[in-house]
Amino acid sequence: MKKISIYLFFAAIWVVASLVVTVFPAILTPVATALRVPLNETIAVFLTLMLVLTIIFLALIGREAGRSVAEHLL
Amino acid sequence: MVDREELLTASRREIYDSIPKIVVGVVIAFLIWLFGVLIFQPLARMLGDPLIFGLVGLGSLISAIILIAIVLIFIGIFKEVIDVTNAIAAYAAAVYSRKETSEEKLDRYQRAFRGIAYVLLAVILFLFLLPFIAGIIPVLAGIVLVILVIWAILVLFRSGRLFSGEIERWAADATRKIEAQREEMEREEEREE
Repeated sequence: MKKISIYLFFAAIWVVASLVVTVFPAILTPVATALRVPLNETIAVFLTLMLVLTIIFLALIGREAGRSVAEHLL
Repeated sequence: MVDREELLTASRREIYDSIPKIVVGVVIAFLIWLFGVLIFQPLARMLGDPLIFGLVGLGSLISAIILIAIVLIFIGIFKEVIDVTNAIAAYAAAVYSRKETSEEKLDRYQRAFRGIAYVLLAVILFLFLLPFIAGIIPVLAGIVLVILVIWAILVLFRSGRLFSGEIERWAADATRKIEAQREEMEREEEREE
């Protein structure tokens, strides 16, 4: 249960980060400048990364939930 | 020949073993679907608006990533679905047998139930993937639906034919019972006259 809360916390962080970047895209300007890529490409990569991380953490939450259900059944 | 009790026990064990795995897989797919449809797709659409940011291809990219994730999860639970289907088929075959079940009957039941399970899984998968297929190429959703319908009809038709022997036997039994009742009623009417 403790692991699930940690995973849930991380998933929430990725989602909130995506929301913040979408609402305030200028936040990523320093990153885009440092990487020497256009801002819109940086945002696209960032959002894709956040999506992949969210999917991974949701899968981890599911795995932990499945394990705890299996333990409960046994 | 397979022993009835043995078959029932093995089927029950397999169902208890596989169902939780399928439920967990479907719940993960549902969570990803929920986050995708309610959070990431609207965000991508917002950023894709030419008047705001103009990331035109981002919506398709996000949809494709979510689509791949859901497909991978469904591939993961496919084996479990087949196991459960085989177990249900074996259970059904054993329930309608007296002491032993023939291998041929078991195989026929398993093929028929597998067909039904394939159609159910494909329909559920299509419902999960619909917003993301439409997010990549809207026309593709319609094409996939047409192909799915034709394929489902063919598979269900084949599954129905596998049960035709049983259906014919049940129909013949029912007809015999009705005939016997009718003859009984006729005899009673004659006696009353």
